[in-house]
Order: sequence, then C-alpha cells, then structure tokens
Amino acid sequence: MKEVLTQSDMFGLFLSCLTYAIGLKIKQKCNTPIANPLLIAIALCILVLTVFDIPYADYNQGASGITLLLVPATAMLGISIYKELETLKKNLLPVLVGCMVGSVVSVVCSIVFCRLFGLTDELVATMIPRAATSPIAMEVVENLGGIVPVTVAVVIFSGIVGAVTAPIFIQLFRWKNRVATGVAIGVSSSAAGTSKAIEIGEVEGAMSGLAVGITGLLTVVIGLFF
Amino acid sequence: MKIIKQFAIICGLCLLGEGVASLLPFVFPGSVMAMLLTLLFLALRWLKLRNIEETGNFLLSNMAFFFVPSATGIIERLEDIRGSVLILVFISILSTIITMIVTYYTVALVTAWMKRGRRE
Repeated sequence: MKEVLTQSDMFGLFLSCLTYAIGLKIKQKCNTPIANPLLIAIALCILVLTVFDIPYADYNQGASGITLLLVPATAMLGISIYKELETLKKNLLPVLVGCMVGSVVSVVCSIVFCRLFGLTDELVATMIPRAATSPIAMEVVENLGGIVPVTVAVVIFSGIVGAVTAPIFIQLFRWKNRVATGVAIGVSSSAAGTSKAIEIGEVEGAMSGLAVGITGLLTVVIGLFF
Repeated sequence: MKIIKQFAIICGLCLLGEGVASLLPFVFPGSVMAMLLTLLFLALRWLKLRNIEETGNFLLSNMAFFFVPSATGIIERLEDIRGSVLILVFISILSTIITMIVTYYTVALVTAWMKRGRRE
C-alpha cells in the first residue's frame, strides 16, 4: 500500500503543495520573517520522507514538475525590473554602484570566511552566489560545482537574516536614505528581504526588488570568473 | 484561455533565452537571459505587459513554492555538510550583515557626491 501511494507521480505534488500550504498558514498566523513558508515546507517534506522512510527519488518523480516552473518564474523577474524602470533611471548611478559593490563584497566575504574555516572547495562554491536570488544562485552554483540544495537553503536563510536585521540597523544607525536602505536590503537578502522592504516603505520595496534583479545578473557575471 | 496564451508567450521567451544563451562563448543561465529578453522586449514595447501580466504575477508571487522539491533534495546531501552546518550558518549571518551595511553606505555616499556635484 505504502509503495503504491509513494511511487505515484501525485505523491510528490501532493506533499509539496500540502506542506507549502501549511507553511503559508503558519506565516499568516505569526507574521514574522522567521516563519518562512518555504523553510517550513522543506522541513515538513524532509520530516515525512524520513519518518516514513520514503526515497527522495520517489518524491521527486512527481515533484520535479514543480521545479520546471522555476525557469519561467525567473524570466518574469524581468517584469519587476521593468515596472521600476523609471525609479531606476532616476537613481541609476547609486543603484548600479551599490549593487556592484554589494555583490562583490558578498562573494568576497563568502570566499574569505569559508577559507578561514577551512571548508572544502565544494562548499566554497556552494556559498559564492549567496547574495543572488535562489533561481539564479542555483544556476550559478551548478556551473561552479557546488551543492545546489544547500545553496537554496543558504540563500533563504540569508534572506531571513536580512529581513530580521534590517529594521534593527535602520534604527541603530539612523539610516535615513530610503533608496540606500532599499538597495542594501535587496542586495544582501533577496526575496525574504524584499517582502520586509515593502513593509518598511514603497521606495524601499521598489529599490529592493530592483536590486534583487541586478544583483542576480551581476552574480552570474562574477561567477564567470571562477 | 488568457492564462494559456500568456503561458505560451512566457515559455516562448524562456526557450528564446536558452537559445540566445547557448550562442554565448561562456556558460550563461538561459533563465537569466530570458529575464533580460523579457525586460528588453517590454522596454522596446515589442511585448505588452498585459500580454504576460496575470501569469507573470502568478509565477512571481509563488516563486518560493517552486523551490520546495529541489531544496528538499538537501536530504540526500546531509553527509556533505554534517560537520559544517554551524559554520555555514555563521558565515551566512556575518556575510549578509556586512553586505547590507557596506551597500547602504556605498549608495548613500554616491548619492551625496552626486548632490554635491550638482550644486557646484
């Protein structure tokens, strides 16, 4: 009976949708960036697969259909840049320079810290595209020879860190430049950060969304040099 | 009907992105090329936003969901990170914070320079 259910293509689809729906529900109930729906869904999927001793391949047989949609979703990031094209034109130089410096700092930090701790080359490669939004980071890390699912987890985790710490820094350092705040959040903490930036303010949200797209692109370019 | 038509256009953009990316002399992700083409075509008005908007917004707002299967794949790589999880967490926190602070002051500095330049 168990095999019949878990080896069906519907099993992976069902488990993914169910766990993510639960994640969304929890996020709704306690409105904090720590209750990240994706992180909850991953944890629940891993829990179910482990407890019932179901091979990942059985799960992924159906679930891989969901992964296919990452490509068109990434392409649609073009829409979010397009919508902010006017804002970008007004702040072209600060935004571009900010994204460039931020992307480079992120890559350098990742490499230097990984080396300091003596991590393997595979893990260094896994950490390099940390600042890019997950779909782009995945592509980059595949080319660099890192571990794709670990990169995804690291990107989400970094996003949560950014979303939690950004409001603290805004108060602590009295950050008044709203464009700079938005870009800083977008570069350092991609998607989870941007949803926080939208809460902070309209300018911050737009700038953060823009910075996510540009940083993703820059990370691809930086990745070409490794 | 509308959704299917929009999805066809979006998939076409992705296919074109992969084609163009394969022509480059270095490895470039097709999806990122598709992102650039989408932006370019929208900006040139070859493509109207309303022809992809609903499906595009659906894909964008549910992006995180599409990661569930690939991220769950971490279950097969736990051996590779077993001893390093805390280090990876620490590095992620530190790098994120440093990146955020450096970026803020970079943008603030460039803005201030530009203002001064305009006044002079």
